[in-house]
Amino acid sequence: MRDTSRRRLLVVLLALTVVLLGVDVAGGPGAGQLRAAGGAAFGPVERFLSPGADAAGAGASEARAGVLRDQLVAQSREARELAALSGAPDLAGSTFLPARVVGVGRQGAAGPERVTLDLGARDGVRTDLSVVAAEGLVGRVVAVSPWTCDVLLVGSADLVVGVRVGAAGTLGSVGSGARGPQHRPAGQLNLTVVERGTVRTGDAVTTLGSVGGSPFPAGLRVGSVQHVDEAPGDLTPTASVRPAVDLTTLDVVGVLLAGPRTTPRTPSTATG
Amino acid sequence: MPLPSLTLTFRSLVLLLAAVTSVVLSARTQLALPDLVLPVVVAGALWVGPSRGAILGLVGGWLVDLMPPGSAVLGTAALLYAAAGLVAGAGRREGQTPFGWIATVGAAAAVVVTTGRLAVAALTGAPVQWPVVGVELLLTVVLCAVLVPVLVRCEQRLARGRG
Repeated sequence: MRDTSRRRLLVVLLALTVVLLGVDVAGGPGAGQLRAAGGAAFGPVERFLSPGADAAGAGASEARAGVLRDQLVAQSREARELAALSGAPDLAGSTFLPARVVGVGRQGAAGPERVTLDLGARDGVRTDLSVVAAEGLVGRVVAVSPWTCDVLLVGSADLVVGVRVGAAGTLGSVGSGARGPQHRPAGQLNLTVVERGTVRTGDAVTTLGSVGGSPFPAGLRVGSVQHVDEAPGDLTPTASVRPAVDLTTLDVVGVLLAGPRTTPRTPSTATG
Repeated sequence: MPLPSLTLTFRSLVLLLAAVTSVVLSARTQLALPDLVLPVVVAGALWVGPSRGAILGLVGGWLVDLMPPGSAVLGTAALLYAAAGLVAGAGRREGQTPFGWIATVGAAAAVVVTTGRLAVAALTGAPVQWPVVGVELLLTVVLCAVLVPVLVRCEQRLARGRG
């Protein structure tokens, strides 16, 4: 009797899981709230266990120890990464919130696809902000809880970025390397050019920019063209792109609050 | 009912610890890591049987799904670990369980979870890092063989202490 009721409970729970999975795939309501609840419950634990937690919680009582710690921190890797981020030419003029990666999801077979940052709604982070490192684009904020936020990385299956390629500014889009006719190995992105344009090996790939600068502002480095595919039947050229940021060694990143262009564009008059 | 609550508390705490540790460790190292949640599910399922093992796997999987940054698709880890709990629970034996059998059940559960992950990657269009997947599977099988007997002994001791 107990065994049947347990089996019934299992079936009900499995059915509930399948329904929630379907809702998440279809983009229905509720999945985002569930992720936010998970972030609110477990995010503080991850922040507490993060590598920089002890340095951040410095007490005012031990001033001398604090000075020594400051000197130590100034020489540390994080300080160098933060300085590199502040001095990156692509980011000149833009405002960002510095953040650290506190959790990396490697549950899938694809390596890291999502990471957790130690910034949340209380710091002014909202979904669809872009996340950058000194070398270029990292990803996009997809879930926010009070103390942490989750970032979908460039190259994951659900993220496609509109880009310009090379000096000519050929338009295209960059997505997961496994999408499209060529199954590229992990760590390579797939570039599809929208029309017959010239794409050469070594061309820089930068973001095209979105309306209002969200999720992606224009001109951020995504990567460089590694190999142009030779497929005679294809109407549009495709290429593999090596990401500018090493996504496996992410530590200090910035959440972009506003893009570089803050002054409104002035209308110009044609003189022809 | 003091005994079930004690073992239940132990199991939930170890599950939570395993889920948090795997996410935080991944942020600190680039090395391939074994699945830390699976040994807990396998040990519990070997002790309680298939249907309760599947429920334990489902709960552990939801923890993995909701632990930030979470799974790409919510519910996938829950279903995979439920399947692993079902398989491990089917391997329950009365009396003393030989080490070889525990290692075999752990390996079977690890293969179930890895196969499921590859299927999820194929369905969602995510790239597969074959060498990393292979190394992680191997590490998980070894960790299951080492950790599952220890966890089973802990649960036995807790059960005896209560009675």
